[in-house]
Amino acid sequence: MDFLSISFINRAFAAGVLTSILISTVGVFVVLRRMSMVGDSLSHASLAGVAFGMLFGIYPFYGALVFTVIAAILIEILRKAFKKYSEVALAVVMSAGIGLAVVMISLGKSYNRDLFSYLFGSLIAVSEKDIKIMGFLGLAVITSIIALNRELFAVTFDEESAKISGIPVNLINLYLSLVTALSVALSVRIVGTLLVSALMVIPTAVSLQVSKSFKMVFIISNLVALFSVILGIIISYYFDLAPGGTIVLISSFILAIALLIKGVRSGWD
Amino acid sequence: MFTPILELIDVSFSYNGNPVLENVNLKVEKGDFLALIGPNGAAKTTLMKIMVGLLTPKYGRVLIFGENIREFKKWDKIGYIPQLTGEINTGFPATVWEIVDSNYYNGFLKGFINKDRREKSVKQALEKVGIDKLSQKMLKELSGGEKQKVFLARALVKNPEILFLDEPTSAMDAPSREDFYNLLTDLNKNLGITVIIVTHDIGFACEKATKIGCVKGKRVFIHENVGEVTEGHIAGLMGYKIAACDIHKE
Repeated sequence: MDFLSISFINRAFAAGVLTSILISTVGVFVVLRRMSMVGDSLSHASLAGVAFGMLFGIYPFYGALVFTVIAAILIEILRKAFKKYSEVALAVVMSAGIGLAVVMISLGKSYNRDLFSYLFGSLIAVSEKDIKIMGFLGLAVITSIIALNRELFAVTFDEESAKISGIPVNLINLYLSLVTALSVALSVRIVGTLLVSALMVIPTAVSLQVSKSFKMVFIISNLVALFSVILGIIISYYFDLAPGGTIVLISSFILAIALLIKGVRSGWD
Repeated sequence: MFTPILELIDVSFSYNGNPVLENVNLKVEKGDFLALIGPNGAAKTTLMKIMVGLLTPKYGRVLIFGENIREFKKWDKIGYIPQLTGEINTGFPATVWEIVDSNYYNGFLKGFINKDRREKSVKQALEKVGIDKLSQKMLKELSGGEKQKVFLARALVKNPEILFLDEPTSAMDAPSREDFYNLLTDLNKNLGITVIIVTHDIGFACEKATKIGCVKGKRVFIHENVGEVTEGHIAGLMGYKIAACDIHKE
């Protein structure tokens, strides 16, 4: 395939592989904690960060990183304030993120191609600098998740018992919010802010249909995301499509097949 | 005189300013089997959460193994089984082994370092409860009784000295309940594990417990001589007549 010799395609693949593993791993914890909409809230906050960067001449990717981290901390604070209605926290942060993004975009008159690349993802927009940031932060996040996997499992499954095991639950919750924020920010370059949450949730949804252990949930989720991203990049290159949409459609198609197979096997019980 | 394994001293607790427990005093000795009974809404679960440090009392102190629960760090001495009707996702996509294994925690990264010891403890906990054959089954594939045994094995994986159980048999049929109670009695008598259980099962409380705690009217009345308390007395309590608490000793 001669298109592999194109440098931006290589960068897109590198970013795609890292993004897919990162976002689908974090997605497992997010879905199991019944926080599926957190990706949407954070990605809209990241859009505000992009707009902030464009308005003040800061590299937009940095803006996205900072804004998603702030949004994640806000969600944790609001979740505690609205204990029984924790989804309120997600709705508030998402609305504030969109509001802030729209205001800053209109202030900076930045309805341009670069903004659209952050909205829908882009193959050509991934720069060497992006790859370096993604590589460094992405590997740090993945390593820390592996190191903390026992704590994360315990807190995700049963917070109260985790506390009685001596696990610092509040700290783990904060850590999980921060890595979710970083994963979203790192993924917006290739998938786009509007669709990053789908890549966080759909691979986990597929793996929940077929997995026979917690370990397998991660493996299948990673594989579905990886396959969707790689195939999505190839298709979007040849048909000149936005990669975010293509990737999400592929993973949705895999989910539909998984549900169909499960339905047929169980006799639609 | 032995130091009690658990002691509540003048404990009071309120929800949004409404007191639900007032001046509760109780002592649990090593090897005790304390059944906490009382009508719905009597604050039995609240009391248990105070005992394990999940809730902080407004007034009073909780001492566990002679230490204030706020400073307590030896968590491997405590096993806890929460109500399954609460916030636990019983459809969680994990195997029985993974769930039991998850509770073996003695510090950051130590689960990796002590892998052999950890695996041995998980195996022993599954065997103690008699569910070793289910180890590779998913939690969601199990019956209510089997699920509760998984939670018991999970609590036992740390070899605790005291077990707290909050209405563990609420989703079980009669034979599973009997089986589960026998298991608890065995752990208490043969392994010397102190048991504190919240239950609505009066017959079991009278037959197996060494102490009965009646939680009613924001107070806890402890009957140390279980022989005095008949099922009829406690049935009165559940029917909102507090016969059992009429013969109480605070």
